[in-house]
Amino acid sequence: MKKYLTYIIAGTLAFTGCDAFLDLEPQSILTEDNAYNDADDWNQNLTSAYGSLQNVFIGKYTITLGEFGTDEVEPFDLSWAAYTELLTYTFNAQHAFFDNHYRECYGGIKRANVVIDMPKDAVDEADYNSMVMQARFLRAIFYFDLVKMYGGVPLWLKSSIDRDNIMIGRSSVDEVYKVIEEDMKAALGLPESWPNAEDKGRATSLAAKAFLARIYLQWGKPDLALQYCRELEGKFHLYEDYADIFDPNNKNQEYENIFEIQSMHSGAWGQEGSIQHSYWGPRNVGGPTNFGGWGGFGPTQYLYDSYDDNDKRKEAFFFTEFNGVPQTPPSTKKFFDEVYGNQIEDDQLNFTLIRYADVLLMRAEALNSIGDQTDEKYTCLNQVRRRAGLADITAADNLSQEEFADAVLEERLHELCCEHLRRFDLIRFGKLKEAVYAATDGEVEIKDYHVLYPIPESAMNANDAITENNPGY
Amino acid sequence: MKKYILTLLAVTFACLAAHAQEYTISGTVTDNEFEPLAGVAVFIEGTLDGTSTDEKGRYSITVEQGQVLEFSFIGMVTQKVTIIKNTRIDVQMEPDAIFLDEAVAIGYGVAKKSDLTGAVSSVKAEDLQNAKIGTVTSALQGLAAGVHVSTGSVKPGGDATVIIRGAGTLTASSAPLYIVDGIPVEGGLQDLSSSDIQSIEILKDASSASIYGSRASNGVVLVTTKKGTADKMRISLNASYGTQRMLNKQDLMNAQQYYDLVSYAQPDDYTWSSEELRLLSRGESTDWQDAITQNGSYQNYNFSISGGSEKIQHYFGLDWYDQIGTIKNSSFKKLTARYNMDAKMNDWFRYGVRFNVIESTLKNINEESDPLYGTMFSAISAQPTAPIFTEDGEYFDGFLNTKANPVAIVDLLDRTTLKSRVVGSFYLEIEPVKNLKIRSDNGGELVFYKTNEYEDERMGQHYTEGGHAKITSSKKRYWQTENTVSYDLNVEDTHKLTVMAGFSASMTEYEDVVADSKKLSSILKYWNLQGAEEHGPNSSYGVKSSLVSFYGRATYNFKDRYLATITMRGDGSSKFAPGHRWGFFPSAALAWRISEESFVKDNVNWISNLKLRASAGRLGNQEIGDFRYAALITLGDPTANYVFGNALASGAQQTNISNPDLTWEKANQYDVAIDFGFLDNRIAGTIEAYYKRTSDLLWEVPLPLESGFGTSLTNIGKIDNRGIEFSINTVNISKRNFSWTTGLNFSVNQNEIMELYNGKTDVNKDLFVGKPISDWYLLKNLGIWQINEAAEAAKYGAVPGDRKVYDRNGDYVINGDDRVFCGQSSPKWYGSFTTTFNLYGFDLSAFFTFAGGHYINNDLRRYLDSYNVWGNMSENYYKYYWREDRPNNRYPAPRVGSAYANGDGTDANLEKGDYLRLRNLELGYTFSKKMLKIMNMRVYVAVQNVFTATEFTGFDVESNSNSNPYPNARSFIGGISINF
Repeated sequence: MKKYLTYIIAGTLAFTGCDAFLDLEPQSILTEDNAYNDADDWNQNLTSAYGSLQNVFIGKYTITLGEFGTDEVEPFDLSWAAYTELLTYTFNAQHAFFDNHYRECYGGIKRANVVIDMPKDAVDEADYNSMVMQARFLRAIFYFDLVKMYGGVPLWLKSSIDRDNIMIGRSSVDEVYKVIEEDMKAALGLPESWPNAEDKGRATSLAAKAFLARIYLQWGKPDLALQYCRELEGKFHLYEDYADIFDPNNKNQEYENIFEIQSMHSGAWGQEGSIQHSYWGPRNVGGPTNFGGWGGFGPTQYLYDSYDDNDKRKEAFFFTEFNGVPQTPPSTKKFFDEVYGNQIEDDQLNFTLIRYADVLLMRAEALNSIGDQTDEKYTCLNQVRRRAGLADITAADNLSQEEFADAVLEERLHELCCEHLRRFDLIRFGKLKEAVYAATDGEVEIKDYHVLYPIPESAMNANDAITENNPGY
Repeated sequence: MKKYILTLLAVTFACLAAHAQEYTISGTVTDNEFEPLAGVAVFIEGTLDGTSTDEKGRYSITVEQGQVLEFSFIGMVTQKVTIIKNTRIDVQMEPDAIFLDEAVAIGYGVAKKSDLTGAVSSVKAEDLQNAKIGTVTSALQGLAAGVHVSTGSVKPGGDATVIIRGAGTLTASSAPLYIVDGIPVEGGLQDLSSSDIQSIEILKDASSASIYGSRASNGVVLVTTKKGTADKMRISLNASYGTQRMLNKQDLMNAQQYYDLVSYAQPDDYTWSSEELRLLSRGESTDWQDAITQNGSYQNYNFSISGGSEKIQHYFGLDWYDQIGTIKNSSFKKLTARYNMDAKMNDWFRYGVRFNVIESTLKNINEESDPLYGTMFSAISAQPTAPIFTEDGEYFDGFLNTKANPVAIVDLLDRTTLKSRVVGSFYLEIEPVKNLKIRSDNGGELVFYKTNEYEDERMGQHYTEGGHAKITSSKKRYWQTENTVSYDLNVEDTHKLTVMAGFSASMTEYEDVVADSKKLSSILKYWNLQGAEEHGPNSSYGVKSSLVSFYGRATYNFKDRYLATITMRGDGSSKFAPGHRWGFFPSAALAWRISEESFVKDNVNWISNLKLRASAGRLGNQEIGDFRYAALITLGDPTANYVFGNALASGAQQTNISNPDLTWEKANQYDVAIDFGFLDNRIAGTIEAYYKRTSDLLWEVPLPLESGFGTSLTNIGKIDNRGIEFSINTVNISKRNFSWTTGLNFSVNQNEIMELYNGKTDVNKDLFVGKPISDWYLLKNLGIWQINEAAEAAKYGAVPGDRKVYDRNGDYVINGDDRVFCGQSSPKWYGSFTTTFNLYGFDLSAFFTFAGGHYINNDLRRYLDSYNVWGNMSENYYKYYWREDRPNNRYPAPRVGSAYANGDGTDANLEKGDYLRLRNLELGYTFSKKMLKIMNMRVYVAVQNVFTATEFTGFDVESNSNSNPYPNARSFIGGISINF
């Protein structure tokens, strides 16, 4: 009977205390109320913005957008429609990879915005400045990838969300570039190099300069690009041995590689390991890179055949056979992890987003574009050619401005192939159509509007303020 | 009383007028389970002469030759026996097709079946015996109209999926609420022993289900377990044993065929390894499906004892279930113990307990949730040219499909899930005033899960050198208190009113932890993680949720003719935003028992039961994640983590934006039905129509992608489900030693999205207003481009032999704009048919289930019926792939890079899902108590999955994974059950 009374009382108490009973706190997840207390908390938000670099640049879907549909890379699982469509330019706005790339970029922007919008008094001034500059560096990188792929996109520059004004329309290409420019310039206040080993991998002012050069060049402002290329003179060098560029033992040496996206072997896929070996590695040899097994991709025969036989890179960048298994077309050595490569999507390879050889070639390109008459552009180009064992190109060769541009573009192909640059190089040089036509023996004839991908249909559907897709889609 | 006197008089007169041929006949009347029936009326037809059976079912009566004896008992079909010199007539009675006086659980109370106003399907315990292998959830298949049970997973320990009256939700769970003895159970009835079950009631309409308002929009499955019996002790023993043969093995190419095909398709590309050449040179081939499968076996032993006195009754049940699967190294063992007690201290105080302990061990090496990584898929796709063992006796490694050696997996993978579960409750009930009952029912459960996993390095190159062990451990703690007051009022049997009001509160706490280590002792495995050289990733998680409810129900019965029920429930859930936590779920129902009206009762004697009922009400759904209304920041997710200085840095990211308006999903449901019983209820059934509109659907509405948040859980849109259910049970023949009964149920459901949000007519071409949720929207496969179509094919970049896809808009580009609607994936209709014969102690029953009107994407065909560069293909593909010299429209040519060859994105791999399955065929013989003195005993043999008629070509038409299925099996079972 006593028990019974206890329950009656308990029941009555519960009745009055219902709302308290229903007010529970999450245990394994933070809320706005407890997530942002000190510098470490904000730093973890910044870390996640860095984390988006992996999602955007070392994702299967995102790699393919910069590589397929050019002359340098092709997929091997052609039965997969998503691959074939990119290769043959038969995609439309519903293609899943655009959706993925677009989401990942804006995911990174969201994470960066949280840090950029942090209250000034949340941490001490030095920390505040450093974190905001890093976040703006990252935001610039994500918007740059968006503007290259899709043209003018909506600008989300705030971390707060107003549900009533959630639909933001597209800005113009120039408006997006202006934001990118401002953000990247803000990052010039970062250190040239992080003194502590545990900070290696963070954005630096030198990386910001290299990216400013790339951004201005793509934006059609070679004079501004040139300035930043020059500022990097003497800060970086070219490795003698090509293997050193990609060797995971050389991570973050800041010798040739200016900014690397970090990975580490983690013991399980889906963690911090990279997927690059699994997708680019040799085929038909068992293991994760087996022919088509992972929807793998690799260089085209067209690319391989375009090298001079005495070009050292022909040997340094390609496997024509692996463990006795011929590789036709050859597979690339650029993303090869001897130690962990055979573990599915869990290799230790960093991805170098920008390196000095690229800066040298950009400098040559910029100089050529502004009609510079000095030897500077030859010096830059030849630094890259000499390492490859190729003869210098000099003023004596009497190349016209256009011919020199072609030489630079070819050099970029041979030096930077498979580093997610080709599509944008071809677009910048106005040669995408031509190159695709040549590489496919005329089988794929693209339209002019293909220099932009469509805004993903899911983005159009979810945002009423985006009313028109890119022309042609 | 009058009747009784008349009878006495009649008997007296009959005796006085006795003829010479008169003699006394006697016998025993039992029910269909050979239990004696007391109080059976035994009359001589056409006279008033009669008697009734005593406690032991015995009777004796004086008769004449040629007279007909009539045995009748409520709830049983009346039987007639003609007297031909017999001195002893034993009668076995068969229950009515419907037993109207049966008490049916309705949630927080019981009601007589005849008094029901809502749609409640009752499942009898013995019907569950149709399914011996598998869970109680899967045993529900076909037992109730409107309840669609698909086998789901047939792996040992796997469970079925149940959808009642169509899926009416998009994001929230569409599984019904399971309540066992008052305690909600997550995820089905897999832990229960079917022998412990007294009855299962399925509450389908708003009126019956709204007493569980908040969680009831998918229907409620109420399970009541057995109570002790007051009269005498009963002991029952059941044992069954069976063997299982895998079904639908896929016909794949053998090594030579594989060699021929690859050599034809990729003459220069493929390098045959020395091991493959060794196998080929010997003319051997590896059948990987055979290599990893075996004949399964199953055994189930069950013991129960029940008894007691008027004061206290006990039931104790013990059940052992042991199944060894058809894929090697997979098994499921379960031990269940149950103790139920009910006691009556005095006239006004009762109490009781329900207590259930379950321990199970699951070994599983075929995770269907991993469609491309599981053992079965590895076996199907492994090339037949690969040997199991290399010349050196090692497991062959280096499969084209990049998977491990399937045989190495079944030999070496050690993955065991242990589950321990304790569920218990006790109740106190006082009756301070007659008919006023105050009851407090309190209980809870504790569930512990632990998965121990060890991957041996010998499994292959993808497995960690030095081994990999992982332990996942979780705990669930649940408690609830339910307190009710009820009052019965009966005014001269004319007005009967029952009111009940109650309050309940419950709390669920869940936590788990994962420990992951690599490079460790292969002897100590997961028992010594501290000995490992590498640790992590480790993780832990915890979450709580709570629910508070008030509820009430009033039922009114006027002269057993007019019935009304009003139910109301208010629920507060922690899952929703403050201010939107409370939901109110009212319902009302009316019923009219036409058969009780004098104009029927007195005039139409073939109508024994006719009831018209209608109900309307609202139900809710809250089965979503916790704290989805709040802005959430996740810490340490791999997609947010990064690496600085070659060391892991954990990242924090916002993963959910706040939705301060998040609230209940609501389903308004309307129901009309006719219950009928004709010819002494020999024919009984129900025809029922329902209409259910779910609104405020909990759905992940896409946010602008630019926000960086994919979606936000929001209440939007409307979905309609409408359907008709029909069920009929008949007692076709009921003779002394021969009876024949049949049952049929059939349900039709139509599902339609009525509204999405912001006026959208579709979301991402995935959900469409005006279409069912599960509609396929795909490109249309038109066969294969033929030689004479080469010019046309070229316009699409295709060549003869490639798959031809319908270009809907005629723009010579095949893309998403060319998609068409290709049918739905959920069955439009389903049901079952059962028939049972009883003849001189023998019983023979057949149980069929069927479903159809839907299409299944058989993604196994994607791999098997087109040229697959990394795995085996079907034998049919080898025989019929397109070649210039044998053009056809079946399979594309084996050409790497042939667009749409595997049918992805098209309807090429859709197959009709219609099927008819003879699920159980059973023959038994019962030795009656009379024969064995102290007990009765039934022995039986059964075959399950005798045949399935279907066009579907995968492993199982009901399976939810087609690319990595656990194969279904035909089972041969023998068993014995003994009752003392």
